[in-house]
Amino acid sequence: MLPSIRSLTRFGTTSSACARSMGSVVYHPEDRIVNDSESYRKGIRLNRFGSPSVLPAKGFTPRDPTDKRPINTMPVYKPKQAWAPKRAFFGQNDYIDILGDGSARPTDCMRGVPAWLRGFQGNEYQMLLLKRQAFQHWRALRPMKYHQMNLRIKFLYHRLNFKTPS
Amino acid sequence: MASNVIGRLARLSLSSVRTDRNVFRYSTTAVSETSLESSASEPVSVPPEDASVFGDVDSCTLLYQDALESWVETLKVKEIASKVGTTYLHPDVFGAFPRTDLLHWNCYWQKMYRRIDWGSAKCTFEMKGGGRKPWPQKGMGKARHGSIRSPLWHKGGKALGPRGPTSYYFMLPYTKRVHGLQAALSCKFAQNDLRIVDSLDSLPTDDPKFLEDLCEQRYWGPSVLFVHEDELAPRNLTMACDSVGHLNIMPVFGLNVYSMLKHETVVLSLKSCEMIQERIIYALRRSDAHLVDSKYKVRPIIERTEQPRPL
Repeated sequence: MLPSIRSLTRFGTTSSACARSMGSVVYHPEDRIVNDSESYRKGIRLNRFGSPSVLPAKGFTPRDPTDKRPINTMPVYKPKQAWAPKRAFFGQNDYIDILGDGSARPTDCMRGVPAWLRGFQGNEYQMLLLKRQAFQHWRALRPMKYHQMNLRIKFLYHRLNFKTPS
Repeated sequence: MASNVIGRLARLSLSSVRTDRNVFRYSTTAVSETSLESSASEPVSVPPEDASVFGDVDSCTLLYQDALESWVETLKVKEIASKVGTTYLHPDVFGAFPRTDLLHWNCYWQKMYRRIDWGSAKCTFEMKGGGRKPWPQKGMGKARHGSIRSPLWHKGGKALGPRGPTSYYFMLPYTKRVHGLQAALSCKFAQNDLRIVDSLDSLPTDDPKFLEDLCEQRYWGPSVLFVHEDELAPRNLTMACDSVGHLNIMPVFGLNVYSMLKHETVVLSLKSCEMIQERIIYALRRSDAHLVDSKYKVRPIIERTEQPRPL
């Protein structure tokens, strides 16, 4: 690459002196060879030989403008419908044994709870014993799952009976 | 026996006094209501001339406690001056001590007893693969590992994770639930949020605007719960409440502590009030209340599906 004129003038040779010493060579400022790194395009200094900057320089949280992935933000607050039927009638029939005719219990009308878990209170081992009874069809239809359930029951049985300090 | 006789005698002798006291009570309630509802154009103080007294005093009077009294309104008109008479309420049901701890217990039970946590994570042995040793024990310069499904690994099994559906079911003792209902009704009555109407059939139109205006003019607050004696509520009321979320109807057997606290005002029809009173008093007085809890200690119903037979 050619050295720029500025580096030549460092030795104290002005343009006129240079012209005198070199005879026929006359310096014209408009002929100056300008390095690309010092040129301007549209008023912006062109760095890195014209390749775009990797580092985003603008904004509070500078990010790549070409990246189309959505930004993680707080979700917009959306109030719940306080009087939607499931909230307005929550708890209905929970006192049916007291206020009803006595033939029904609150455990009989638990909604959203599978039949085999209604009124069940216990640990994982007890839950699995019930589940094995209720999911007997897994034996033929999902043998792997059924086998794993049995393994877990066996493991829990040993842990509860032989490993747990009591 | 003797005490009964004395009690009856006392009641008889008091009955003449009670009429005077009733008059006095009317005046006091009137003063408080007018002072509260000063913006209402029509005075509420004077009970109508043809005011009738509903219910039986003796069934609501205890030996050492007078019967409570309440206005009976009607839904025929929007206006606040729509009293048609008074009724007697049992002090054990509507005038008990407001046990806020029981209210809390009851709400907590209502939320929790139906709760199922469905979260579950797979153990190491439930994950697929991981049988092969990923690399030799020695000579690789790497840490020793036996399986790619170890809990230490990314995409490995979970150690001590949530297991299966977890049930949070528990049964609040029968007496606590009865006392919870008692406390909720008493709180509502003490705060003037329990209104008694002659009948829910008396609503003249099925226009929701009429019902909303009615609730607004009577200062019934932002939400109202109508309690009907039967499963099928009257058509006009059902149509009016259908499109409005904060006006709801419940049968007597559907009434519960959570809904009573969620709704600002509870409106009972005369008949439903009678039913609630009768059933709560039965539950309070029954001698086998301590045996009732054992009814809930039952194994869940298991619906066994039929096993598929080989072809």
